[in-house]
Amino acid sequence: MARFVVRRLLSMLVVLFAVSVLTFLIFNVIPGGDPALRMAGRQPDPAQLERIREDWGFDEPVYVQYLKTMGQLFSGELVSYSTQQNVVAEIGKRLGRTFSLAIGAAIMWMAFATALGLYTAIRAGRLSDRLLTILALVGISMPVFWVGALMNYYLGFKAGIFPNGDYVPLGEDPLEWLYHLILPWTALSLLFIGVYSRVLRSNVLDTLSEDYVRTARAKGLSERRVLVRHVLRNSMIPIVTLWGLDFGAVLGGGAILTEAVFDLQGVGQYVAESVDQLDVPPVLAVTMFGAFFIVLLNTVVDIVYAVLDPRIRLT
Amino acid sequence: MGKLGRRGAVLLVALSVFDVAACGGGDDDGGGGARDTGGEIAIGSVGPDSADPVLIQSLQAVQPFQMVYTPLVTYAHQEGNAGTEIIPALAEEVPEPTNGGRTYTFRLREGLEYSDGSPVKASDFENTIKRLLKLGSPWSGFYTGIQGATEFTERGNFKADIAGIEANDRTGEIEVTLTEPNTQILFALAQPYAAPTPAAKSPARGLKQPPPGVGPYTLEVVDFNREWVLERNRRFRDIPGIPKGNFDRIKIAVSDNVTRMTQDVISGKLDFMTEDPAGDQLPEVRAQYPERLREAASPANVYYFFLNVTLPPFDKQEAREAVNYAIDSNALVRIFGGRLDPGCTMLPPSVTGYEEFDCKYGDPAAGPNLERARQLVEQSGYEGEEVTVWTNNKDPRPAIADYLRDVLGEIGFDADVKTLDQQVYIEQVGLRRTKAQTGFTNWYQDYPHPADFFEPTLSSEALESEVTFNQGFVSDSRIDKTLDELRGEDPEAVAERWGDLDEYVVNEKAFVVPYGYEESTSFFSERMDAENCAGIHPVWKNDWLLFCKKAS
Repeated sequence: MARFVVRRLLSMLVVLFAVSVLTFLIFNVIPGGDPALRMAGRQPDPAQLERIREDWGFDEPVYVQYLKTMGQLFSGELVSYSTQQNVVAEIGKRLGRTFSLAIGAAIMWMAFATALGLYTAIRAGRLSDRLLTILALVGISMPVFWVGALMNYYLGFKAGIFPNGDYVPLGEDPLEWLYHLILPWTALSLLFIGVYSRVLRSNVLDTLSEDYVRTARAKGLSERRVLVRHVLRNSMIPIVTLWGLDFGAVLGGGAILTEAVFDLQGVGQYVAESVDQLDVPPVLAVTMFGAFFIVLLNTVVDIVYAVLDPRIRLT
Repeated sequence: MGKLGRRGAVLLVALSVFDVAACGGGDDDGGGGARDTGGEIAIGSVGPDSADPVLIQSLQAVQPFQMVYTPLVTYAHQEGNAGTEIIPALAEEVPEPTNGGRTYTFRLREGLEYSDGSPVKASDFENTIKRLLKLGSPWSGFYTGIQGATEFTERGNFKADIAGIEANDRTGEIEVTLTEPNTQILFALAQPYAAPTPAAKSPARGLKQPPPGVGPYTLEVVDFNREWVLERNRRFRDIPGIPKGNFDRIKIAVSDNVTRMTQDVISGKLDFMTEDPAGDQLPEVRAQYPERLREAASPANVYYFFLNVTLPPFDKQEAREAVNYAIDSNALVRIFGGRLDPGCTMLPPSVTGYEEFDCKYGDPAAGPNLERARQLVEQSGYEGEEVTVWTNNKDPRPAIADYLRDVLGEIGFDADVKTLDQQVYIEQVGLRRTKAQTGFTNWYQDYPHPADFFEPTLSSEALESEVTFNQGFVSDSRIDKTLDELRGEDPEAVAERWGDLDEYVVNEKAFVVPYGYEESTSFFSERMDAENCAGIHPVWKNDWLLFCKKAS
């Protein structure tokens, strides 16, 4: 187990290094991506440009710029080119919002998808299965920015049943926090519920025809015990993999559209604004942050595998 | 040669098409009953782009910062053309230039103090100019015409002196000497980023919190990307012409979600928004809340297609004229969702020197002359020539380029479109090596001076910049000579000559294809008096010091 964790940590470093180099290079080679020109205004004076490049180190070789930027990132001194605000502090201020969105939505989509997937599998071929399948496909087909905007407009702005965007910190008022996040959670979860329930349904149907399920039934176990202990447990392995990747991505800023529609001002929204301004430091920091969570959650997922399937050993 | 006006930054300025008298200034109730003053209002905005007054670049920053940072001279707090007038602020009066038009001497009013209680010193002004130059402010180009400014920038030593600024803390006298006469300096000194701030609290590095100012409000960054707050400056002393403002507190709610911002203004959660309602919401806002919406081509701007005169086919005048004949401003008005005032001049109607000369290519409000355009293309010998129309991805610019492509195709060119990200667009088409033949461009005035519409966009000197706004790479001796002659003159006194220059550029040489002036919106909540107190200002777009609630 210890070796597994150490190996994973080392691979995490390699992934983070590769991600940081790629992100930095992309923003350095794209046409017109010279931050000095944007800082200098619309008719840059050559002497002024020179001064900006010198002061910010843009005249140094790319690898030196990269090393300096990474040094600033890890020392918490990285500053945005466009607003000159501290990037790490900005991410820190937005973390609570993104975590609230991601964790709540992840619980919601996992719970609903599991229930829906299992139910449609055991009711396979019946009318309820067909109806729920259609519903799942509708969920998959609706883009989050569209369904989010509709919810916000009709349930928030028009009907006033829910707040029209905004966010209240959990520590400030737990009920308001919940109230403000119901729509974002729902909007973000719909797609995942649709996908996960379809995958789970298919896995459960496959597992139901396995020999060990027949054996379990032959042993006289109750249908409920067969389903939960043998069928669902084995069918969950691919779902857990998916969940690890998706949850990591959402935590790392992947819920850009949901955050923007509901104006949650989370990490995703921050990176979206930064990309729009070709502001490398925040993009680099958030990309690293996202990559960290994806790798971390994959490690957690591998550990959960072993719990779900005792045949899997972590080495 | 002076450099003012050629190195601005984004945005600004212009004369409003509205001539509504200002209201709400100072203790004036603005007419129409007793105003409900005091209290708090909330303004939605995508937010100021910096907390440091010398580093702000956007109009969203200039609007609150001008309430905090009072310069030596300032723009009149009036709607319409009156708002372009330069009035004394910290200085006792607006100085007349001496020394052949090169020296301006200001004298500070007595007893001025910042919001932190410290006294205003003459040397604080020099400190501000030094910060503008040292920190690479986007506006620094406005001040490089001051004697010794370029040397200061090159040396990079913040403690060094700027030879052209003599500040006497004892007498409060500030003498600014330019390298050559240039009437644009007063317009540049009237901007909030040129306002003195206490030198002790304004070091040679970017600031995370706005420093104290002299203006009627103080500004605090509660959370850079979410909330800024303006509060009354209790130490503000009466300065003639500067209103005190009608609210005790103004909260700036920062968000990039313009759709929600619009909904919040509709519902009254916000009282005003610095942005235009999103394109799909604007028709609804126009239809349902007309009394809360104001539309005006302010700040002054011009939208035009550049034509690269160094490359085929636009190196031939016939080809350039052909495009002018073929453009249908009405089609472009539709693309702008009605927010375009059609026109064919480089100078917008509200700018000194604007003349409604007969467009050689026909009335811009009427249809195009495609037949004449086709003839001219044939005469140019460039029929069938490949032309790439450059544009960027900001709405509605792709549609504008598609329109030009279709028009060019109709008159005999083989046209295509190239679309870039809006962040890199200006840099790319402003580089000679990009070889952009034609494309979308616009110019928003930096300050209300006609030179600002020609020097950056059509002069030879603009071509010296690494990235030029003279995207047509026009180098014309008559334009350059005229600009040299008019630079030191009072624009009002030579307004006719500015008009002649405009006619020369468009009618005689067809260097550009102007098609109109964009109108921006001011949208208010129900409780605000949008009719009388919209504060539509030619320089700041909206002067929040003029905002007021409806009379109770």
